[in-house]
Amino acid sequence: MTLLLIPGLPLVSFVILIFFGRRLGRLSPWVSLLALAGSVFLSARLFVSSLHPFSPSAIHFSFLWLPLGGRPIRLGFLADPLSLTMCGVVTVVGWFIMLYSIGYMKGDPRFSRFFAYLSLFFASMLTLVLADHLLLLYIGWELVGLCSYLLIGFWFERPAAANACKKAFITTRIGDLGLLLAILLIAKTTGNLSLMNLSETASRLGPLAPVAALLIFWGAAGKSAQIPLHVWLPDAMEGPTPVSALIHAATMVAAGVYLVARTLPLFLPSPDALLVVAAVGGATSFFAATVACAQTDLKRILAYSTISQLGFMMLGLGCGSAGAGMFHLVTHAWFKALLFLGAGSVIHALHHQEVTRMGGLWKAMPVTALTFTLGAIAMAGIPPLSGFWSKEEIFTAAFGFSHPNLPWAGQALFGLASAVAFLTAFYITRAVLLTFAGPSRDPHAHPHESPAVMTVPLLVLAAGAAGVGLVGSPWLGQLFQHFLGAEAPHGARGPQWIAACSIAVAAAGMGLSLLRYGLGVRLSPGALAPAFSRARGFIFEAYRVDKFYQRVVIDPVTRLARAAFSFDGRVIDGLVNRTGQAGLWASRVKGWVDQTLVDGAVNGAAVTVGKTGAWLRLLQTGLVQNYLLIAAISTVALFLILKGV
Amino acid sequence: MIVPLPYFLVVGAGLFAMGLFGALTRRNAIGILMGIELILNAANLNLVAFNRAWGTPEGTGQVMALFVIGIAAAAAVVGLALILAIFRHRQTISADEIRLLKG
Amino acid sequence: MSVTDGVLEKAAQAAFYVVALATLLGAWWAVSARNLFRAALGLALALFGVAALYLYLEAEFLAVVQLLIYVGAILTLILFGVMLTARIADPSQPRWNRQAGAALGLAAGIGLGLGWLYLNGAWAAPGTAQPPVALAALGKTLVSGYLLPFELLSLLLLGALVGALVIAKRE
Repeated sequence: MTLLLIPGLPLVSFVILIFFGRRLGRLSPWVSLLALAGSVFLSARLFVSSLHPFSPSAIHFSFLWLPLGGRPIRLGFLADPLSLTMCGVVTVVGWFIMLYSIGYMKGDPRFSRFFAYLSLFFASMLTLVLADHLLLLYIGWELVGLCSYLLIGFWFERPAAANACKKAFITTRIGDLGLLLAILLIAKTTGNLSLMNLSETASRLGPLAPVAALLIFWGAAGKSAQIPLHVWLPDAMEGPTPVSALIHAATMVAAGVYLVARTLPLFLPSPDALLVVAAVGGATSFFAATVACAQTDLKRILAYSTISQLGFMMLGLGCGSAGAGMFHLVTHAWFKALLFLGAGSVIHALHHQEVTRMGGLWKAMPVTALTFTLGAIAMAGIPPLSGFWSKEEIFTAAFGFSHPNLPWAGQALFGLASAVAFLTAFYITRAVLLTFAGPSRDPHAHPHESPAVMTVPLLVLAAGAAGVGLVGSPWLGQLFQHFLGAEAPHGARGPQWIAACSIAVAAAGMGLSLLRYGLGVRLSPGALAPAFSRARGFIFEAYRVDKFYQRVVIDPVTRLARAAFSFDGRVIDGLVNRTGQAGLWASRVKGWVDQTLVDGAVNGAAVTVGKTGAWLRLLQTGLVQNYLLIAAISTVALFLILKGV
Repeated sequence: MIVPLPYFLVVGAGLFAMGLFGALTRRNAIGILMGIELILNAANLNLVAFNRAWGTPEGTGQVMALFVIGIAAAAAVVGLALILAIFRHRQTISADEIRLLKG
Repeated sequence: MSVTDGVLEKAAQAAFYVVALATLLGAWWAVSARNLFRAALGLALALFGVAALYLYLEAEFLAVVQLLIYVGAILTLILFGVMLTARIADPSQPRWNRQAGAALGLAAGIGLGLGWLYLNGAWAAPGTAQPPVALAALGKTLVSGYLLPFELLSLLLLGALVGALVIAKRE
């Protein structure tokens, strides 16, 4: 029952806010904050009880949903270490982001609607996380997609936001298709969609297990913005910044990573499936990191950074270590939420997002500057802040990866991960320096520190970003990895030089960035400068993937749609649709009956034809009785067909 | 049963056919409503008759019929209120002249 | 079975035909009368007939409910509606709209088809007739297994009440 309440409380708050939000006005955020606080408390209680050595490691609650004959569908919630970890991240980080939004969204005409959507998001996200069944997970999965759509397009008056939310919805929908296919495949082959004994499901799937696994990964790639479905995430930054922080950095986009971690037993039997996950994750990670180096919009830098870090998590999972991927997910949620909220604080003060027009902000906004820098260092991977520990886990997992036919796969992945870590340190230092250091580049700006309701969450998240990594560090005996227990077979420590290497690449990246953006040393030699700037333009446009999609996918589809539209308009004209055709068919039958049975006795053929015509004209009249008649005829026809008469 | 089941069913079929005809052809909205009431009565008659012939002593068929009567009452109330509102608004309740569904 | 019982049964069976015919006749008036007021009276006859058929089926409670709600409430409502809207008996207006032919064919087809199915299918009751439903049992069913729909129905009626007031009230 407790489990039911965790997603239930935000749902109640959503219902209250959607109906009475306008009347509640400025009180509305407190309703959702209170509800979410309840969820935090309940998940904390479950968390503590699951730490108890003698309690069963998983708490399970399920109810009969559809009594479908011999194969009833039960839905339920499952609290095991994996879902409790995710649940804790979502609720705790989410609570502070929600608190921050009170300041950020102040004065918005749809203030309470915003918190209603946020509550709905929490309800669906927690359903997704706690689901014990792929079907329920899928329901949550689609609902978070819907919330994402609503929140990206929250300022739908702006065309950019309206386009971005459509793009996000359609792109993730392409991914959702993969998950749906995976669910259908598993249901058809094994008839068991439960998430409880996945290794048994995997063995029952037999040779189909990698297929199902890759279909699931396809779905995860859509949600977690992996190549080639990454294009929606940068545009999703059109939403309010707290939404970017919550949904498009800390929680929802991590749902794909969570899904792969959850279904990892399906991937484990096949090294090839794992390699695909690792390679796609690694490639995405590297690609997005390079793009982030060239961006000038603060939120887009962070967006590409998110894609890159999600790819990094996938890399960890692809190396077969749920512990490494999930650990990075947890630490990333803290420092990326912090970075986004810091960026939001800056945007709130300046009303624009261009880092080229910022600079010198640390004097005006000391709290924001300090916390943002802390988050940046955590992300760059400098010990003892959180990013270091989780990145090192992924390094270790990558190095330990072994594929039967590709002996060098582990080393290659390790090299890729190091390159990504270097680039990460480089671009995030660049962002910090351009935003906060040096002289102000905009004489008209009058920045000011944000109100306490925004800075307090920043401080709390900064403390988390600094400290949360310790739970997985060797100093505390890798508590986190042991807590995940069975899901993380890769508990073993890597050699010491991996940690040293990790610190070295991070330091190198930060150093290079300091040299270039802190001290103004030009790094590109004069002769190469034009080539450099051309390459930067190409990278700045994110390798023109968007343009490629526009030309190869969207334009042909649009053209096809236009052709279909003109076909519709010209051929079927006013009578439009299948109803018309059904009516035509029915009227022909009736005409035939009239002709053969009544024949000359009553009207004769001419009248029948005329009547048929007049009758056809009556279709689409707007008269209810016409529609009813057609519906009744169709029902009778359907009955006769089904009876095989 | 004094009278065998099929007889009741035949009466029900007749009521249904006439009700359908009325609902499909009446030019007056109140006439359509009457046709619908006849259809519902036909369904009820079938429910009660089947319950008598094949049903259990709990009387599930009769319970269903009671629900149908209740829903018919609600439909009649709302339908007539709508008819009155439309009549006041447009001075007609002829279904031929009400084309709100035409796109 | 005594002789008088047999005679009574024969009489009841004969009366069934009368009731059934009256019901169908009333229904026909209800859908065909040019004057809406007469149509409503036809509907009343049909509703009475159905109530009488319920008595044949030993569903006395249903028969009473039918009289109370259909004849007492819905029919009264319809009569009010007929009288409140003008042009109830304009003989120049056609009774039916232009799809009458098609609708007649369809309705007749359905009616005859169903009748044929009923008379030729294996619908006859089992040799031992079921015991009639006791009123107490009916009540128990209504508030035990069907409690939720029952409550929902009361909600629906309340909604219909309020909705009808809102729709029909003058601005």
